Amino acid sequence: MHRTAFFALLSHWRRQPLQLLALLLGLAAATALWTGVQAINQEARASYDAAASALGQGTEQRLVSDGPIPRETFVALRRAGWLVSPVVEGELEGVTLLGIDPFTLPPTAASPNLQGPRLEQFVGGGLMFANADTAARLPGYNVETAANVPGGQVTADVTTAWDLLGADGFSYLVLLSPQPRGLPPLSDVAPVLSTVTEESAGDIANLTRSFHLNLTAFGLLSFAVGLFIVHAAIGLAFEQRRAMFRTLRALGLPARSLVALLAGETVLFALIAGGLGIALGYGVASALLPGVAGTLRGLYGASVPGSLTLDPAWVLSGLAITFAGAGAAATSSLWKVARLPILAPARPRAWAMASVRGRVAQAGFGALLVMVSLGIAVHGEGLIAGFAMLGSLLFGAALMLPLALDLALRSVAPLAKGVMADWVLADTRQQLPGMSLALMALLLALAANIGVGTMVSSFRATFTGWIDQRLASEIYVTAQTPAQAVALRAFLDAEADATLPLRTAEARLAGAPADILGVVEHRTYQEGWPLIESVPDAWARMNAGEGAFINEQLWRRTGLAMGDRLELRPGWALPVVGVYTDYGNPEGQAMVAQGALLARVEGISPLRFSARVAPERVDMLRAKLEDFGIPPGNILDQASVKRFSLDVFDRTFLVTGALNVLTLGVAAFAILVSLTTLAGMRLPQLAPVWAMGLTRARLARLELLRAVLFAALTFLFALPLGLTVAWMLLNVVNVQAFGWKLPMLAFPLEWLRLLALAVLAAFLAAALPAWRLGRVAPSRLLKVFADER
Amino acid sequence: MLLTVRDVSKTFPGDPPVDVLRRVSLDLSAGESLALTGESGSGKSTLLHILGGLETADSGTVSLDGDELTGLQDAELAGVRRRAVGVIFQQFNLIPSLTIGGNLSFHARLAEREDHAWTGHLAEALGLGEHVDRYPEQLSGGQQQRVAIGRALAGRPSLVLADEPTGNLDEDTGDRVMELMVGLTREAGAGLLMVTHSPARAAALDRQIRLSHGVIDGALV
Repeated sequence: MHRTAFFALLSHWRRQPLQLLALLLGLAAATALWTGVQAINQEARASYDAAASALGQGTEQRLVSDGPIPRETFVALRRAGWLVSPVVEGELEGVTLLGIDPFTLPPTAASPNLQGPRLEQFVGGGLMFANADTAARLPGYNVETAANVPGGQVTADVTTAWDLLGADGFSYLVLLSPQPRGLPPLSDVAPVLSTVTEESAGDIANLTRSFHLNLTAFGLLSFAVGLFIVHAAIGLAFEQRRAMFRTLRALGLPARSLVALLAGETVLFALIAGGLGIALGYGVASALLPGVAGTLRGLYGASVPGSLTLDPAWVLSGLAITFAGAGAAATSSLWKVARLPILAPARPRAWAMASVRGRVAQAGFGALLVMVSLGIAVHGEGLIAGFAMLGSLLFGAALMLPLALDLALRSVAPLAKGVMADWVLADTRQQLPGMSLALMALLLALAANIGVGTMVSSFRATFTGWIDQRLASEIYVTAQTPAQAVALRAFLDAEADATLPLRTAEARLAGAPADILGVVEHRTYQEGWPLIESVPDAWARMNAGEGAFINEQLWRRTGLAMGDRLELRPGWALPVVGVYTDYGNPEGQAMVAQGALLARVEGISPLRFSARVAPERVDMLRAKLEDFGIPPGNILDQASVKRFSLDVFDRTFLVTGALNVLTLGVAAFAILVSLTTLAGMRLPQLAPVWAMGLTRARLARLELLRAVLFAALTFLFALPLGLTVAWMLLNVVNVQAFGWKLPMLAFPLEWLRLLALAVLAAFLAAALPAWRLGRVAPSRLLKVFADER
Repeated sequence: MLLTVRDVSKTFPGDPPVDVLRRVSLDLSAGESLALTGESGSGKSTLLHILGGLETADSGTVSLDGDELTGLQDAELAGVRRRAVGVIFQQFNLIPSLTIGGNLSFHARLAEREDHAWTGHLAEALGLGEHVDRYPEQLSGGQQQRVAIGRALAGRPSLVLADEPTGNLDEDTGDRVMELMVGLTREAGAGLLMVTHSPARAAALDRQIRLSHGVIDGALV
C-alpha cells in the first residue's frame, strides 16, 4: 500500500518537472552558499592551527627581553639545563622570516624535513623553506618549497636570518615543555628575561573571529533566501496535491502514513539536493577562497592558502543543514496535511490566496521582530547581539513586506488612469500572495546589498581620505644595517626638506598585542593624524612626553577616558591625551614622543625613515637613494604605498561583493520560480481578459511590466531598510568587530545601479513565463472555460 | 445580415485527428437569437469560439457585421473581440481583483465605448445597483452571472455569445438570468447565439439549430 501511495505522490513531480527543478535547485543553492562559507571558514581555521603548530605549541611560553636577547644568555640557559630554543623574527620582502635552531626545536614543531645533506644546506648553506605561494614571492632567494610551512612565512636557520635581517641576538626563546626538575631559577641565570605566554594562534583567531562571524552571517542570509524558494515550491506542491491527498485518504491511507510518506519524499529530495549543493558549495568556496585569503591577509595579516581541501566535517554539516532547511520548509505543509479532513474541498488556489487576516498577522509578527531588533540596539552588547539585531530587523521587515506592498498598491490605485492601469494595479494586488515569498527574498537580498554596499563604500571613501592625510611623507626608506641608518639619516637631512625617523616597539597594551609608535615633533603628524577625541594642547603634551595618543580600536576596547593612565611598559605609564583613527589596523596602537620611547625601550630598530620632499623631486631623491646604496625594494614612494593600501582594501571586500551578487542571483531565481509556477495558475485569470480582446502579446508585456513593478516597489522598501542595515553595520557591528566607527555616506548612483540590477533581474526572471504566455495556444486559454465546466 | 457562416470546418490534431466541425453554415440577423444545441463533443463550443474570434477555422468563411474574420491576425481578431463581440461563460469568469462596477464596465472601457448611462441602466436592470462596490467572491452564482451578462452588453457589441450561461445555476435563478439576457440583448439590438443542452432554454430563443458530430442536423425552429 505504502509503495503504491508513494509512487502516486511522486507522480506529481513527473507532471511538474519545473517545480521539481525549482525545489531541488533552491535547496541546492541554499546548501551551496552555506557549505561554501563553512568550507572557507574551516580552511582558514585549519590554516591558523597550522601557523600555531609551527613551533610546536598553540600556547607558547616564551622568554623575552626589552631588546634582542644576546647569544651568551641563550648559552647560559642551556648550560644551566633550561630547555630553550632560540627564534629570530623579522620581515623579508613583506614575508615573515622565522629564524630557528633545528637542534633545539621542540619535537612537536611542524618544521621542514631536515635529513642528511639538507640539514647541512639549511644550517650552513642559507637554504630556506616556504610554502609554494610564499616561495613565489621571494625570487632570488634560496627557498625550497615545503607544504607544512604556514603561508606568509619563510623558515631559515638563525644564522641565515641574522645575515638577511642584519640583526644580532634572538627575538625570543621558546620555553620547551616539560622542563627538567631542579633547574636554577631564571632570575639567577638570566635576570633580564621574563616569561610571557604568547598565544600566537589565539591572537589571529581572535582577530579574525569577527570576520568569520560576518561571513557566517552572510552565508546564513543566503541560506534563508534560498529557503524561501524551497518553502514556496513545497507549499505549492502540497496545495496542488490536495485533491490527491483527499483521494488517498478516502481510499484507506491513514493520515499518519500520508505524513510519513511526504516526509520520506522530503528526505529523498534533501539527499539529492544536499549532494548537489555540497558539490556546488565546493565550487563556490574554491572560487571565493583566493578573495578571502586576500581579505584575511589585507585586514589581519593572516595567511590562508588559496586552494581548498575537501573536509568530511563540512560535507556532513552541509547535509545536516540541507535536512534542517528542507524540514523547516516542509513542516507547515506536513502539519496541514496531518490535520486535513478527508472531505475538505480541494482549493488549488488557496496557497496563492492567503487571507488578508493572515497577511496582517504576518506583518504584526514582523513588527514584533523589528521591535526586538530595536531592543537589542538599545540594550544588546557584543558582536552576536549585533548580528541578532540585524537578523531580526531584516526578517521582521521581510514579513511586513506583503502588507506594505498591498497598502502601496492600494494607495496608488485612485491615481490610475484608464482601464488597463486599473486592471494591472488590481491584478498586481491579486498576485501578491503568490509572489510574496519571492519578493521577501528579493527584499532581503537588496537590503543586504544596499547595507553592505553603503558600509563598504563609506569605508572606502573615508579610508581614501584618511590615507591621503596619513601618508603625507613623499618617501619611505628602510636602511639595511644600523650603521647604514646613521649615514642615511645624515644623507636625508641634507637632501630632503624634513627627515622623520620611524620608530616602533612591540608591546602589550591592556592585555593584548599592540605597537607603540615613537614620533618626532613635526607638522606632518599634526596635519595627518586628526584626533577624534583629545584634551587641550594634546599635541604639545604628547610631543613633550607627557601624554600618549591611542588609536580608536584600543580606545573603544578599553574604554579609556581622556586623562586615564595607560601602562605602556612595566613602570612606564602616561595619561591618554588623544585618540586617532587607524583604519585597517586590527591591533591596538599608542603614539608617544620618540625621545620618550627611545629612553624607555631598548633595541628598537633604527632602520626606517620617512622624508618630506617637494613632489617634483621625489624621482630624483629616489635615484639618489639608490646611488647611496639603498636597494630599490627598500624605497617606497607615497603613490605606491597608497596604491598598495587601496589594493589591499579592495581585495578585503572582494568576497563580500561576490556574496552580494550571489544572494541577489538566488533572489532572482526565487522570482523566476514563483512566476513560472504561478504561470499555470494565472491562465484562469488571464483567459477572460484575452477573450474580451487583449492580445496574448499584450498580456505578456503586462506580465513583464508587473514583475518590474514588483521589483521596483520592493526596491523602494529595501532602500530605507538597507540604509538602516548600513547604519547598524557602521555604528554597532563594525565597532564590535573591528573597533572603529565610520561616518555613513550616501551613494545614490550605487542605489540607481542596484535598482537597475533588480529591475533587470525581475525582467529576466519574468521573461520566460511571459514569452510562454505570449505564445500560449488559444486552445489552452479556451480550455480554461472548458475545464471549469 | 449580422453574421454569415459558410462551410466552416475545423479538425483537431491527434491520432486519429478529430473533425470537430464539417462544412457548417448558418446566418444570424441583428436582434435575432439563436440556440445551438447538441450532445457533448458535437462541436458547439468550438463553433462558438470561431464565431467570437477566439479560435480560427481551418476552412470556410465567417463574416461579422460585414467584416471577414477568416485570415485575420491575432491583433485584428482581438480588435473584433473588443468591439463587436460580448462573451458570457458558464463559470462567469469575472475578474476577481476588480469590483462589480469595475467588472461591468471593463469590456466597454477596453473597447473605448463606455457609456455611463447604459452601464448604470444595465446594473439596475440586472439588480446589481447596490453591489457595484463589492467583489465577485462576495456575490452568489446567479448574481455573478448577471454581472457577466452586464459586462458582455456594456460595450454594445453587435453579437453576444453565451456558452451554457445557466449551466451552473439552479432552475429558478437560471430562468431569471435567461430572461434578463434575452431581454437586454434584444434591447441592445444585438444578435444572440447561445450554446445550451437544455431544450427548454433553447425553446426560449427565436431559432435553434442542432449540431451532431460537427454537422448541422437541421433547423428545428
